[in-house]
Amino acid sequence: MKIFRNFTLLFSLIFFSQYGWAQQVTEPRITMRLDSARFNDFVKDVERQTGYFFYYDAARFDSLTIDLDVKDQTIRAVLEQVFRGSDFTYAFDVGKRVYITEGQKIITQLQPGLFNPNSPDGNEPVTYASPDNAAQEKLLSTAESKLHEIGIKKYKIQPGNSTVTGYIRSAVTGEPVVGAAIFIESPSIGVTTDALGFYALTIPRGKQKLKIKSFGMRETQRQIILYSDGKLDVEMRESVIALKEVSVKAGMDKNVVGTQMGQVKLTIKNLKQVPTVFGETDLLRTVLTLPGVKSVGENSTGLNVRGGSTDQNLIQFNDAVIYNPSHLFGFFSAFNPDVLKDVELYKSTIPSRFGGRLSSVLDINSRDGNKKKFVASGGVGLVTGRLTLEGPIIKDKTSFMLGGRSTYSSWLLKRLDDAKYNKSSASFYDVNFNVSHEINEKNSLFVTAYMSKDKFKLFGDTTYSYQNQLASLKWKHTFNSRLYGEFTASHSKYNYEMESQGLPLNAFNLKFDINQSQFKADFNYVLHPKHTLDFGLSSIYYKLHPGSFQPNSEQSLVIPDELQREQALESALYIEDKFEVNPKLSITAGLRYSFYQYLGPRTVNKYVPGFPIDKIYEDGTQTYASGKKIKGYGGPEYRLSLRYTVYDNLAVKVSYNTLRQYIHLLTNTMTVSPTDIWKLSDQYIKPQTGDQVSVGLYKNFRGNKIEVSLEGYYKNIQNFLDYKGGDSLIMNPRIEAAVLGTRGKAYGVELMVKKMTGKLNGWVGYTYSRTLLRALDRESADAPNKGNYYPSNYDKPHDFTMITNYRLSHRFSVSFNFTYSTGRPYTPPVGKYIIDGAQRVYYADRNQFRIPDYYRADLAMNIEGNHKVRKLAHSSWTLAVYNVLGRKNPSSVYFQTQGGRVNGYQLSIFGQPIPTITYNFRF
Amino acid sequence: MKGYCFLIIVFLTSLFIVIGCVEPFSPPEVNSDEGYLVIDGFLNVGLDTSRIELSHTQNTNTQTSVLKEPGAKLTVEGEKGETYAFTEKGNGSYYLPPYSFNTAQKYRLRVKTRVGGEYLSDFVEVKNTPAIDAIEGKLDTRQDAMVMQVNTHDATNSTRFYRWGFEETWEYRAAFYSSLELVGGQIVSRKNDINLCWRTLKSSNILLGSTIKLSQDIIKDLPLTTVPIATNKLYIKYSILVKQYGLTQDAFEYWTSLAKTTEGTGSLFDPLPSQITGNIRSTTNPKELVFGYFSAAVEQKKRIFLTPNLGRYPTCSAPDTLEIKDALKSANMLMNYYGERSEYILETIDYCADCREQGGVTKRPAFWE
Repeated sequence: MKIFRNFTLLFSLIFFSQYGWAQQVTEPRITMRLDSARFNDFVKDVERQTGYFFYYDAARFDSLTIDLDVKDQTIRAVLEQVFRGSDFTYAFDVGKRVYITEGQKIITQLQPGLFNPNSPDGNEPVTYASPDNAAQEKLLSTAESKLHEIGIKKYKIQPGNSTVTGYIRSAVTGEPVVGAAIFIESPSIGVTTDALGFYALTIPRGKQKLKIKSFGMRETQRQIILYSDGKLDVEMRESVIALKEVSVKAGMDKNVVGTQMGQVKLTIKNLKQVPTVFGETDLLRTVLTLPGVKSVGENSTGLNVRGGSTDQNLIQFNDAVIYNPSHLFGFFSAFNPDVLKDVELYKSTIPSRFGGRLSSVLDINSRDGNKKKFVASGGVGLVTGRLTLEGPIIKDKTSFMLGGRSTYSSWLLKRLDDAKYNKSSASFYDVNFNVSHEINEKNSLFVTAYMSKDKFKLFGDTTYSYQNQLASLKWKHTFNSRLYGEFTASHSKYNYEMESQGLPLNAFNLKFDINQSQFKADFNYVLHPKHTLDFGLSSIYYKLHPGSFQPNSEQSLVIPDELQREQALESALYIEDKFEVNPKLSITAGLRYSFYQYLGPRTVNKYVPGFPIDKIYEDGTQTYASGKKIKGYGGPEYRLSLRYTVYDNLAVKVSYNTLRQYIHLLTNTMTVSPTDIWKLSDQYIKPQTGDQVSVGLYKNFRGNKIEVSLEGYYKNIQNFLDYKGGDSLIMNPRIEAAVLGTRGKAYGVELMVKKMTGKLNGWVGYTYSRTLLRALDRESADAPNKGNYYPSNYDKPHDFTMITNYRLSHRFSVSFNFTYSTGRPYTPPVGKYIIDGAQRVYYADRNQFRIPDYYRADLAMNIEGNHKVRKLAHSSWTLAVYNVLGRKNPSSVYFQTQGGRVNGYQLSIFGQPIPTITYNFRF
Repeated sequence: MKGYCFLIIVFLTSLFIVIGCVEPFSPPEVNSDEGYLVIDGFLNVGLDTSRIELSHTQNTNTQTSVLKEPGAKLTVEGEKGETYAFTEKGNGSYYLPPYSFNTAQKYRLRVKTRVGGEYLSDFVEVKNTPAIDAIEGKLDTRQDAMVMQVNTHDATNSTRFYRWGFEETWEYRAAFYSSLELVGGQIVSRKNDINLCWRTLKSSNILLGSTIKLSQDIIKDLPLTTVPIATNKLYIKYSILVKQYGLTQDAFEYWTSLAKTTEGTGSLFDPLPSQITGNIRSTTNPKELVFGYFSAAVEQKKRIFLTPNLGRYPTCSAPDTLEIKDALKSANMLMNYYGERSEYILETIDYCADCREQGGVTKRPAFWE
């Protein structure tokens, strides 16, 4: 039994007296003799002899035995003797009460002179001793115990609801806390903060206790009296145990409670746990471990989401589109892990605010710079180094972050002995720069600039280079407690260049670029406690230079050639209502209307009507003036999702959506290559359209610690592009004659079990999926497989992934990954013949056979430096082994005619265990 | 064949040093024994005989020789209805003597097989071929090899698409000279010289060139083949015969596709393979595949000789010294007598003394200078 009466109240007085009262009164004397007595026997004896009363926690004294022999001693002297050498201390108050505590003494007297400042303080001053660290944390959050008055104070509170709005921020960095849950328990009402840490919570007026929970943050609470609508900002402390990241609490039941389906959010912590081939945290490679996301091969980060092609993903970095999200043709993703905050992947329910791509949205967000102090962080790996600086410009208001990453592979190549290699070079870098500024409590501004560049040269002949550049400016404005808006302007550019100097007569320079300028406005309006509206508009202006081919030396006889530039305008309006019908049923319905105009100036090829679009049927051209509409497309897109909670922790969700895509990536190679070009829809190439139905079952086990989801989907894709064999897509002024309109269908089932808390965390996913294509014109001579359905290049029916991380201690964790997937389809040669004196092969129908199955295991160890909060530098080491089993997974299968024989080969790039080591630091 | 590993630099060639492995891959799939018809050849509208060969496709793993198609009827038809019949000279080869064809007309090929199949090509236009201006051997010290380059031009700017084939012939010697041989258990002087040989190899790659993106129809220093010095082809005398054909754009695209699909280098960016068949269809069974491309063109030839004396005299391990009685039982190559009283005979393996072991013939080619 605890005898801890009124302890909390006294403790909260936090004053403290050493000898305050004891010196003034004569104390009773004690005489006793004890031999291995228990503490409560001692207490009883003292209470009997002195009339004092003891307060203490009996459980603490269970194992304490006392040997004592005193005669005529004061109680103080006896206690001194009893507690000598232990952590226990004691304090007296005027009411003859003794408080025994461990470590910290209890203050039993108010500051002298507190109520009579004029009286001279004749006594010894009451000293204040600093409480230890843990207590300090608690004390600093006096905000927790204080009563906050919100709104215009009235003596009589009207019944009804009012809205509290405000920002949740980190007390350390000043960064907004995203996705934090703010709720009251009775009645159960709650909301989560948006991307800026903003929340608006409508609750009954009167006295309420707000609870706030978030990832990696200490749970906190606020006592409020709500008179009318008002503001309350909350600062949260990081959970010191994890130093900088995560203990998942808020959003834990998102799986079951949200209407979103097929949505996965990964924080930087999740990303860091997954071992990668070059030891560096890799966003895209981690996304590839999620169910429903695949790539053609190991060397490619092109994502195929639920049977979609690699161009059907909207990849946004701080709301600006990135066209080529990889370095070195896919061996690295183009995002510096140090500046990332999180990434969200939407693959079935795509919110109405997104559009323009068919398969998925990958929404990548960077962190805000530290608003309190300057921090440098970085890492050194086998092939790359990175450095990030961040800090306040105006403390608590404005911060910046500047991150850079580069490779030293060129330097390594130069060191090689082999002449073949040291004539080659390879380099890449990326730079991020963010500024976030809080103008006032209703307005904030965010600026992002990003650039990445790749350049390499093979054997000194051909130089390839490509770069992404983007900039965005976002203004967030709170109109009132129920309406807020975000206004974003962004510009993205992607370009590549290829230079050849092999033969002086043929030296050339080939260039391509695409520019997109976008403006959008998104609003969120709380119409009613049960209805939340999202609405907005966006407009994108595209400008493309599909290719320019220029001589690159004076001797060069290359005829300068430049394809006509293309431009188009894509706009959209949307509105979406999230309707909480009752706690069991929630519906989100949205409509997005997009329209597209392909604009002049341009001279377009015409073809004989009624004949296939082919070179031989070309029939003159038609010229359009600048700004004139050549072709327009448009149509509604429906987004509908529904959640029904069958019983606690089990939910069923259904969603249906349609999407339209006006821009296409032209690629007839197996993987994403730098010379792939983007093409706008024109009068011949129609926009791709897709629709998807998905059904899912979600259940959380063991107090939301384990999330299980099972989703099935069926998807149609129209006007997908496939290619006629052997046609070049580069510098082709008649692209429409080289492509084949195709329809696709994809279906599958995805099972995922996820555990994000505890010592052992990670996820296991299994996917069964198929993706099949068929030419629209089934009679055409170019139709693959005689116009029948054939599997796409990335059709891999079975896919199993396991990502695990086990934390042995706070400083040491081990990760293990395992991946299995069916081999991808390929087209083998099935026969040979002789033409022109040499053997040739002919191939089977497209994609009817498969390469061997893929499986791989990776192992990684993270070792953190010590966890002292205040020290010069925090550092960590990552040791990883990629492909521990050393399996030679074929990444490419090919056949060559050599010396008159047809030989088949498989190329495995990471065909043996690859150990890496990375050093990360922050100070 | 055993697999091999090498240091590849990621992405084809450069970048990071990663162990990449290339291993043979021979999947059990598909033993197609359809035996589709293959039509190989073209109508030579120049001064030479045209030759067309008929054969059948085989399974890729078959090791037997190609099955020919004898007994077929081949005719070339002009647009205006005139026909020229080929005559068979055995084993699936069909010949047509030179005629003065009307080069403004289009021609097509008709094939009727013994089993009743009929195949018809598209009409093709006659393509002229300009003469080869020069063939040059250029020493490339970086590769330690001689690069054979072709130069041509068409002043009328009308050829634009080219294809080449070549035959290389070189003279070489075996390391040792054999002046003796065993004939009926007797050691006699060798009658025929087997130390000096000529070997001829035909090109097996599809060599294409186009000037369509150049302002003038000039092919300059286009490399056809690379002869490494280490092959010793260039040590005594080397000759190359280059054949040049003008192509129509369609034919050029056919050969490009064929080269792409069958000579792919296995790079990460290879295009999807597609079924390349050509411009010939079956009229009796539209589903049946036929392989080959019929074209009508002039063939231009040019031969050069080179004596750069690059490489080194062949060497072999030292010969054995045998007593005469042992030499009589020898299964190897006898060279000559040895010793003060010629009591020994030097003996070596066939490869070291018989140049034919390296694939050549001892007969001097008629064209050899």
